[in-house]
Amino acid sequence: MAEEEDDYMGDLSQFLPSQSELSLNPPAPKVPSVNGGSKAANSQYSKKRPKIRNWQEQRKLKREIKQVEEDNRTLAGLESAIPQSNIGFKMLKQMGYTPGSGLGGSGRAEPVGLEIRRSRAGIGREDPIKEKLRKEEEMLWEKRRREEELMSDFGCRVKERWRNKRVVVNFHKAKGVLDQLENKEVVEVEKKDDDEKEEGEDEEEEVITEEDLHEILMKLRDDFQYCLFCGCQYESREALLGDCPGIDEDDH
Amino acid sequence: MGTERKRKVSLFDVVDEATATAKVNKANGGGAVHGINTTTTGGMPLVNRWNGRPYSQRYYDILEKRKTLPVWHQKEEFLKALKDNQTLILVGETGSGKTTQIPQFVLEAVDVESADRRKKFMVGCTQPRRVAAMSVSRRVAEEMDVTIGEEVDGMLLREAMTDPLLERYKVIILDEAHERTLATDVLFGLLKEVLKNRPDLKLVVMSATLEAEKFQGYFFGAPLMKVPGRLHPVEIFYTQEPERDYLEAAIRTVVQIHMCEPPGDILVFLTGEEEIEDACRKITKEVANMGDQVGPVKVVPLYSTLPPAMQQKIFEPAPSPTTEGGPAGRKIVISTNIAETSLTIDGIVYVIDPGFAKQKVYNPRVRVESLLVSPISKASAHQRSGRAGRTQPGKCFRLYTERSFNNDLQPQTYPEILRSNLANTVLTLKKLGIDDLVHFDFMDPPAPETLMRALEVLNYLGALDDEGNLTKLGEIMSEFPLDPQMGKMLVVSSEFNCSNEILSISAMLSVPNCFVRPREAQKAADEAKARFGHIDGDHLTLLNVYHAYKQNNEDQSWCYENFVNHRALKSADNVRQQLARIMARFNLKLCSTDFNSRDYYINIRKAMLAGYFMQVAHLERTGHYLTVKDNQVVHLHPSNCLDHKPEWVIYNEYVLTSRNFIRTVTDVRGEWIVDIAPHYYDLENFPQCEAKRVLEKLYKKREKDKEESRNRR
Repeated sequence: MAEEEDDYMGDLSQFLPSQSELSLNPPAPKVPSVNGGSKAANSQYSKKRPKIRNWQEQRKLKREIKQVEEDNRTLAGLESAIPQSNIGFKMLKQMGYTPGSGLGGSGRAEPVGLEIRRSRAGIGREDPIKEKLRKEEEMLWEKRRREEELMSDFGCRVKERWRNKRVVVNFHKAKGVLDQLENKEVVEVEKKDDDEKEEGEDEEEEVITEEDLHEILMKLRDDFQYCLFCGCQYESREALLGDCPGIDEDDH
Repeated sequence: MGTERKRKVSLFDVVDEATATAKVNKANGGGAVHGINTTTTGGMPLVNRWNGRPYSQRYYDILEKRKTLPVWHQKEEFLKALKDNQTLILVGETGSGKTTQIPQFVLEAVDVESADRRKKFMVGCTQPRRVAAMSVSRRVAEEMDVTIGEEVDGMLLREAMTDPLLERYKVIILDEAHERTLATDVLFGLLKEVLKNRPDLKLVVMSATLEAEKFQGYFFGAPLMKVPGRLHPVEIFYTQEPERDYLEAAIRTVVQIHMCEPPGDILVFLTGEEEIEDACRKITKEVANMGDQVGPVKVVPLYSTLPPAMQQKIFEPAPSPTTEGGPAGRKIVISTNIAETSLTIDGIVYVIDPGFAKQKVYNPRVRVESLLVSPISKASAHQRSGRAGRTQPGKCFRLYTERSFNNDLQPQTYPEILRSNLANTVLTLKKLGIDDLVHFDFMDPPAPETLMRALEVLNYLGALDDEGNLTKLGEIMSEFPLDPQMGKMLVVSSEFNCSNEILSISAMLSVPNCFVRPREAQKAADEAKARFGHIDGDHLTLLNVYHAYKQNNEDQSWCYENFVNHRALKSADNVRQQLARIMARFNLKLCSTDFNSRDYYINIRKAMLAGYFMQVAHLERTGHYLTVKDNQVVHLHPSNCLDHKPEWVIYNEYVLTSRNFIRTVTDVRGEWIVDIAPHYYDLENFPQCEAKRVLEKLYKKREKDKEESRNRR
């Protein structure tokens, strides 16, 4: 008993004064002291409800879902306008009605729509059955979307891994060429280093990024007019720009 | 539904009372009476100029109170404005006294002005609703110390049919214009025309503040006069979250207020009878459970179908404390939106507004006209909260968030003309000589498709020809203040040799549901109803009830014992008499088929089909009904008396309540359909469906039968 009263008392305090009113009348309205609160009451309420539905409730739910479907059919009927072949249409047209327009300039062209409410959900809150159906549908979509995502994710990852590998390979190739061009004597040694590095690829992989590759490719181009993917050193900067299709491997 | 029927009845009632009691403005406004009263200027008149009798003490007592009303301070200003202008818009919040005082000011002014004292004149004051018209006229009569008639705005419209320039009237006052009933809107358009042709006619439009500028713009920029209301400030509260169940929330809030807030009565707005009765029971129980820690409560329901005596309960005072010095008692009124504008209850300090009301909707595309629970408008919410500030500063608890108020509520309620079937209105306009509906000056023009449907119905019924001209049949139909389908059914009923029976059925359909089903005696009530039941249809069941009522000498206790509403039957009888008078006026024969003939009921059903052939549903093989041509899935209303599921039924209404129902249904035969309404059941113009295939067969059979009979000859 006492508990219930607390909840009731608390509830009135859950009301908010109007914002606009508040700015007009500075003294904020006095509301009974907070004690409990509707949220507590609500959660208590939901706890009391059994989770498992018996067959009667299930049947009721089924009926309600059927009703929503029927309502949707009714509402679909509201979409189709009265056809021009209708005698009423013709008669109104004889009076000077312009099809597609409203009357008297300000009149509405379409009839007032209707909304079918079959629950006691408050304003701003969705009908629980419709909400349920919508959520179920959303969940279905979400599930499908996630599956699709998973699939494309998998494809992406495969591609990504391959791409990363190419970056590393190309980087080392470029590094080799650069070293060669800068100092031909180190070639053999570097090659060995290269191999060693390839073995330890897994740990090093993260270190070499696309930017690193880009940087080294640009260095080769700028300092030696060399394109790794054309595999040759151009005679001049102009020749490089003219004949080489582009900087990246994909361009070739 | 209920209100729709009520509206029709009220028209009749007014006709009746207008002729029976005679309006004082008319009867006593004549020359002889005028002669008596010559002592008005200066001093207090001692003799009532309206009936020549001395004023009673009560008159003077009331007069003192009247003078404190805000509108009295502007009496001179009003009279001057009335003198200088043809049209005047008067804006005043509830409590300004405009409804009761303005008609009297006008009457006085016009009387003094009236040059020819022998000429009769009338001041017409219309109210959108019958209850209001009654209580206003009663009040005004009391204040003037006379008896008086009343007028609903639909009534004035009918008067215009015989008196197009409304020449009986000198001043017309349209009260509660902001409510924008269908009749008000049609009157607006009509009066605009009349005013152009009658410079001596004056019009006063009275409204709550809402939309006053719109009226002004519509009525040639007429001057606007404002009367302050007597309203105390009302604090408004919103919920933090949208409510899961507004009924539960309303009950919770009532109990909280009763426990925590200072004395003052509570007004709760709910949507309908069932919900209201439910809430009354629950609140009474909740408060009883709390014992004597809280004050006693009187929970009073209020809705239009409640018997008048029960409605009066809302004016009773709150109960006094159970023990001396104990917690104060409280009156809790649970009402539909009648309490929003038309009825004023003093002493209300707290208003609970869940934000819903049952509102009429009509959609011409699927031809459904029904009362649906819909969110109210911001303007309505404002009206509701104002009800808390009538006697002292009050509080309004809105059971929705402020965000919802701002985003989910539309600014104004759609005027009724945008939410109604206009078949009857179009017929009336045609009768009034308004042929061009497209250019008629509606304040808010209806959707074109609504007019198309109206024209279509009237054309198929034969009231309008293909050019849209009123036919002879249409002329007669327009004289019946009924839906055109019913009018048609009545007019042709003589041809089917059953006009007596069709008259009774029409009358029964025009009054509120006559079956009573009290919660505590549902089984007995159902058994009683079953005794009247006719297996072929609800229309025939209604006929049985009417016959039984007459056979039992209209006895009230018989009604009580048989669970039928005496008031409803009495008014049906009244309606029937008036319809019979109209029938007689047009020489429509009153006749009946021999009751022992097997054609007795068949003829009745055929006559009904002749009016209602556009309201037919067909039973599909899947077991559900589809409305003809629109193919809407509908179900027979559980109140039906049929013992089978007929293949074809006519229905009186298609409503969306807990399901899509057709209500008041009667079995008809496919053969009759193709015989009586082949122009509507024209298969060239029929959507592909099961019903069409059945009809094809019926037409073929009909051809074959004709051929055979020709060969035989």
